[in-house]
Amino acid sequence: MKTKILLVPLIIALIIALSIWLVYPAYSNGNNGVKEKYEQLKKEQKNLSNIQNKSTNAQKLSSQLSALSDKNVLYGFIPKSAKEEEIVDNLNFLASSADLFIFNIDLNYSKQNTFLNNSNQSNQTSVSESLPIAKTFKAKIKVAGSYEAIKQFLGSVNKLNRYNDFTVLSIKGNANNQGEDANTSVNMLIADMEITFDILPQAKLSDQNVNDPIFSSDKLDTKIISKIKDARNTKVFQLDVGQKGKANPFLP
Amino acid sequence: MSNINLATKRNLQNNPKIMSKSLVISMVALILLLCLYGALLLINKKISAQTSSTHDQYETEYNKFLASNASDVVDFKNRSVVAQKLISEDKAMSNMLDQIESSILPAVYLSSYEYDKDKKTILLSCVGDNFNTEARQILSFKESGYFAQVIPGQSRIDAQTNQLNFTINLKLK
Repeated sequence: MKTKILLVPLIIALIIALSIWLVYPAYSNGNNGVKEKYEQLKKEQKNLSNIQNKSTNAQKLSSQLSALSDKNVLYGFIPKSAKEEEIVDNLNFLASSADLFIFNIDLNYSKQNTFLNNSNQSNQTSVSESLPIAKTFKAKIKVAGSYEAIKQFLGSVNKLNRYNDFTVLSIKGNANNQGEDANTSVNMLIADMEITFDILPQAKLSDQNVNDPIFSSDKLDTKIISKIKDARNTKVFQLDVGQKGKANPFLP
Repeated sequence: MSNINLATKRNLQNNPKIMSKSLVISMVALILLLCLYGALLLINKKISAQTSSTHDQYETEYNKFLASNASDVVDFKNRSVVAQKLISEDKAMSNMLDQIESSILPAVYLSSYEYDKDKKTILLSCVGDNFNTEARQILSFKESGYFAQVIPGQSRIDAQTNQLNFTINLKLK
């Protein structure tokens, strides 16, 4: 009878003890209890759902991009590579069209990257840090001609549908022509220009930019293409090598 | 000293029943608790397996996503953002010349024009007939509203030509 009397409180005590040391920790122990595991499962399911959504959106965006006929407007505006031959050919063509005489064209990569290095930091809503930044390619050019011709050249270079920017422009009267006909002398100017062309290497999808906001939508934003078309409407001429090969490369 | 038994006959009869009833209840509670523990262990195991399977599925989808054409999309987006920024900061060089043309006085002509984008300046070397012309030229640039600052520089009369050479530094906005 005494044992029976003691048994009930003992069982109650055991229930309490088991609840505290065994059952509750099995439910939640801050690490691997059912509650934490369930939260982890929910998190994994959310991640899976996110990546599936992104994958679906990426497929839709990719097919929209493939079908976009004007996409080359953007790729031509900031190309993946310098295409130096295009720069030389186009500057020469535009200068000749404007009746300018070119003394020299000097091309070289700028040691300093473009403004996007710094300003990109404050624009993180749209571009991930891991994405490539634009590099600058400089063309120094010296031309001679009338003021009108120089102005026409500047205008047409500015309208070229490959992005460029004049960083230096110096126009001076041609001192060598002082003794010649007065009108010709006044109108003959020498212009030194430094024009920068931007290059943007191909961006690749990586762990750092997998969360880019672009994948949260299934519609490709192509407004930039019409903006480029409005701002820059002179086509970059495609260069053709023509005939090539020579038995003696030293023969003129 | 004599002992007095205060318990009634009825109480003595009922006590074992109450005792065994509470014993049964507590035993059932204990068994239920153990069952709950077992269930928790099972659920934990099941959730772990589900988590692991979901994670594997996620890894597969993630790698599939990285290997997809999504890189082209990211590249297009990056190029668009850069292009947008370049277009917004684009300044046509011929517009600056237009501004100079519209502000220059008939009595003044330029001997040199030097534009520097980094310094945001245009340094003009001008030739005029007298100091009044120089003053009016400075005022004309100020009135154009296109320049942030108009800073006059050195001015001197050329003894040979009897003309005034002066410089003006125009700060761009």
